[in-house]
Amino acid sequence: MAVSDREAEFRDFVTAQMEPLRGLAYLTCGDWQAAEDAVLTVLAKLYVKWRRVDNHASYARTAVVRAAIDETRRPWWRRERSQSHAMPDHPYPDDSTHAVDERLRVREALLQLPPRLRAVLTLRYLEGLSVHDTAEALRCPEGTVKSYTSRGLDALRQILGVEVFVNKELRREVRAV
Amino acid sequence: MKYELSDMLEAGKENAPPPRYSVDDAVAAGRKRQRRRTVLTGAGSAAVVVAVATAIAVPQIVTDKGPATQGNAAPAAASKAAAPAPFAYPADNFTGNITGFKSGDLTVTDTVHVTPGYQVAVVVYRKGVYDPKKIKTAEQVTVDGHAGYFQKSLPGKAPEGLKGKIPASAFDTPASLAWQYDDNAWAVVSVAARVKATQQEVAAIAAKVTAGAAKPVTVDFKLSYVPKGYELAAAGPSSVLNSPLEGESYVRLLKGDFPYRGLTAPAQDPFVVNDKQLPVVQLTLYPKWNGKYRSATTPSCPEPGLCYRTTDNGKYELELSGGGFLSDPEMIKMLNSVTFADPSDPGTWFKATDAV
Repeated sequence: MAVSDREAEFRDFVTAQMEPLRGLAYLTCGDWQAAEDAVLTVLAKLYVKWRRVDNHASYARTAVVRAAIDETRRPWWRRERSQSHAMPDHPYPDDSTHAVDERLRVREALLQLPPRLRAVLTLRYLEGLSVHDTAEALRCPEGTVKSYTSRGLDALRQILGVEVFVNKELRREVRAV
Repeated sequence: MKYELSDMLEAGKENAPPPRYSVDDAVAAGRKRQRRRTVLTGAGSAAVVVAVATAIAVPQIVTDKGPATQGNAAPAAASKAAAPAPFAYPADNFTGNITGFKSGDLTVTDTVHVTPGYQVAVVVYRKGVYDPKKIKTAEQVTVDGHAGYFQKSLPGKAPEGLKGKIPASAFDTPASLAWQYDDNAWAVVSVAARVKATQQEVAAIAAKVTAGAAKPVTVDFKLSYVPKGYELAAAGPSSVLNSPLEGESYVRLLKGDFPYRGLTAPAQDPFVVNDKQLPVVQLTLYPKWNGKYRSATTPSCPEPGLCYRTTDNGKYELELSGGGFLSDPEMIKMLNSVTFADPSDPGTWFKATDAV
């Protein structure tokens, strides 16, 4: 494959995937700037190994989640956060409609979960990965994924004070894409 | 009301700000990386811990024990203030005696961090260490008959130079309740701003602060080599007010005396005395999955001032931060002198006072 062909393919891929990857990273680390840095880093790596990766989307997705988790572990992040107990930034628009309130409430609830736990929920229920694939992506045992899923759902129920359910049909549809 | 999880996740990423990077930026970053691929380093991060769901900054209790008398100070005058049982500060250095408890849906851990001036779980200061001047502008309250102050949480603002790099919420003021449990002896309970704890909830935590049996703080590694002049300054499962990960341990070494007096919060890097920064070295052991860099049992320094070494089984990583005061070869020498306990078995851990 000529360099120009590779670059054209890469450009097409980035055009289609950059925004979803940005959202995935944000849901994992809770900070848009850190999320974008994580995505750019992963895309740069993917560019280098483009011809050696079979499934570019899968590679990018799992690498972005890992990188986003890593962003939350940087020494400066840890030092600053440890002094304030703060969670990642989540700027709110100046809008008081009910729908916006609900969305912000949901986002607030998600951001209260630890990054790895959030990553498990995101990979499973937004990206539609199986327990096995999620475990592989996060390099952890399948039991951990199951446990994190259960803990995450319980935590969201407690934080929001409402029932949180999983649409399994939707999840299968997402996986099929 | 019911929420469907995938809908929640979709909602969670709505209203994204305009992207900072374009497709061209991604291509440029890729090309750049290609050019320097022989010096690849990981893209992730170093150690650690993000705040806990119920993150509570713990209270501290202080007795009047200055650094010069740290070794054999008498037990602190008990805090008979808010605690149902009197709180007596441990007599020995680097021992902790805060007993964890639950208050509503908030959890206070056992002691997770000890310095010569205070222990953290709830933060309990030794007598004479805490200066209430900052919180005295807050609302006056009474805690079990003792004078105190309640400061509600306030939104933070990132200082110039850090704007855009660190979220403003990192500078939120936590809800805090300080009370004078004895003459010139203060205890402080702080609850993270995002928890949105009420004054009543914070007071309920304060009322439950109790002292258990004093136990030496232990860590799961020790060093046979420490550069001249550096001495143990803090130790425990947590570096500050985080809930520790499994197997996590923290040790801080300082070169020079730091006066544990007049504090308005737990001491943090930089440790400045008479306008001069004391050299500081920090070591943290944590599960390897929480690490950023490629590391091995042989020490290496992927960034200036940051060196790493893993346990023999590769499951845990020790981070040594030199703070700009030590050369990398000096830090490698320190890491080569490390002996690990079994991080998964606290029974094998070393007393912090024996670790350096």
